[in-house]
Amino acid sequence: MNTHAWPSVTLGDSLVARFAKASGDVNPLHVDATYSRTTPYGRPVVHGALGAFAILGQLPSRWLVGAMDIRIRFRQAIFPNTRYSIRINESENEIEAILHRGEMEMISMVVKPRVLGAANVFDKCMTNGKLDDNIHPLSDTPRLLTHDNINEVGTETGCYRPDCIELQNLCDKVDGAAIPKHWLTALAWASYWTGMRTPGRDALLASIRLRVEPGGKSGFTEKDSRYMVADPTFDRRTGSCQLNAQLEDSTGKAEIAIDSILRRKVPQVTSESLKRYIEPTAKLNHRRIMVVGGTRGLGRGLTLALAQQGAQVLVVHREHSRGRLAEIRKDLGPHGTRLLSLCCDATNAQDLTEALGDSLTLDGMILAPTPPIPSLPLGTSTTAPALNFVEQSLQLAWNPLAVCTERLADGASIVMLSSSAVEDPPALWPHYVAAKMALEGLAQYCARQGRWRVTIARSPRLWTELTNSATGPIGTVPIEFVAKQIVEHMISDIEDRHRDPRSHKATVLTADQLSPTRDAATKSEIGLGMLNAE
Amino acid sequence: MSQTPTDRIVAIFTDIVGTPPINGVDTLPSDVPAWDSLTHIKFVHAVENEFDCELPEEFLLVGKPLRDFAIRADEQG
Repeated sequence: MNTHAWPSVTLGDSLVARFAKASGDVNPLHVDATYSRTTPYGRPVVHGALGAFAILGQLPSRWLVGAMDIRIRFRQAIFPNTRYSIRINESENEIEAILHRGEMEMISMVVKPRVLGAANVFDKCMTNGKLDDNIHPLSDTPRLLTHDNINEVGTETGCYRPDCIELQNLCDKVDGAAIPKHWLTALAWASYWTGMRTPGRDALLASIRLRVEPGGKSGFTEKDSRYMVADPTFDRRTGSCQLNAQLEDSTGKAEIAIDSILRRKVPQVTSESLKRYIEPTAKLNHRRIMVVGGTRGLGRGLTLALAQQGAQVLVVHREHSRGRLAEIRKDLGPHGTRLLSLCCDATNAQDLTEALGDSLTLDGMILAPTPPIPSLPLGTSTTAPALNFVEQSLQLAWNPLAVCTERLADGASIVMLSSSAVEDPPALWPHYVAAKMALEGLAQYCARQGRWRVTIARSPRLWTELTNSATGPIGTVPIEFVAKQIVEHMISDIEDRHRDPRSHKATVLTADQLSPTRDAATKSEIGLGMLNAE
Repeated sequence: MSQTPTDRIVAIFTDIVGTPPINGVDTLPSDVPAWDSLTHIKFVHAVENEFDCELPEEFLLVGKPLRDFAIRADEQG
């Protein structure tokens, strides 16, 4: 086996935009920064097919001709303007290439010669079909399929017309001039179909298998390619979607198998959903509480719950969250006036000070922000982004605390949101655990000063936009329950504020304390039940 | 000779992940960097298809060793 040198590749924003336009895959996960903030990735993601172009561009040309079987696994999202390396292992019978960043494998590809005439996994779904000569324009908005209606999708056929010249230009940029046109078309189509049609907007691409062979169909113009997609197979519990397709153009044909995941839509906490857990009262009337990161996930639940208890809530949020805050206000109806917007960068002291304006006394503060959490193994290549994450996370708590030290009343209640991950660290999240442990250290320091009642809330696993991975709600706790526990704890702290803080130590609310007990919870309260109840 | 349930589980895992499980059926997700939630969902789906069974929901979460899948799939399949 030969192992080749490790070339590096960086795919810039402009390449992603050009690929989107050329292939028709304008799924907002790739091209819309605002939308991608609502996903676990936090920012736009490079098309997997473009990553595959980059890998193919590094293969020796002898692997880019004839009939080939190409298996591509998309293991982790890749991001624009990030440098990746490609490791290649070549043997007589196959070549394996892996796009990686340090120890973390992002995309793997295996190419080997295809045995023509061998049993074809695609034949059974294709023999009854006929390719469609009708030209269907590319969709410019992705189809919104859900777990409820995806089974209604049947066999589909059409004519796919990507911008082949631009696809070829993009390949040239990643040293892929030798990649056959029908390979490019097949990959571009797979990207388009997954991101725009099936499963559409909420898709996560898991793998593509291409069985390609040269020899185009006569009568096709250079731009045309015809496809037929068999009924997708969908597993409702796991969201796993498998589809087989056939695509032909003027230079060759491809049989395509795509595995993807259809993510569920994350339900938002509302004032009504909260009322099932905690009754509105006036216990926090005339109390002023700041929530940093209060427009989504648990922070949103806490904002709503505090307002429902009568508090004036100062919501610290970024410009792009204005719409979310407006939604929360609207949801609260007449009590929406209890929310005060502090639109600023919480990591910038001057910005936050200016947003706060005249001196306000705070009876409480909740520090709930978490930046998007990338998967990063412990390794030399990921040290810089991991430490950046820790710093950014800590700044989001440290800075508001530093700015508000003089504004926090004696006996004020401070809640810092930590995570059950500090007790059971998840794989690939060492930076997240480190950031939360640092936050807990800061909490203990603040408690030691004796001025405030400080609480560390180790949230159990929640189903939020930031954690909406393939497993969705499975094993999660309702946000409403966690918000109730924390707000009731704050009410108790604020009512006791004139009593000396006990032992000058932060109170730790463990994940167990923030989770409904199995006995007390109805099945619909826990994540597994939510899955069944859909 | 027919394959044992553990052989079948190992074969499915190898097909999905791309490499054989490093510790056979005692392999845990923490042993395999590529065993993330996306891979796991594909693996569960493939096991259910192969054994014609429906695994309990706790199996949808990443964490159990391959041996547990073999035992449960064999019981239910």
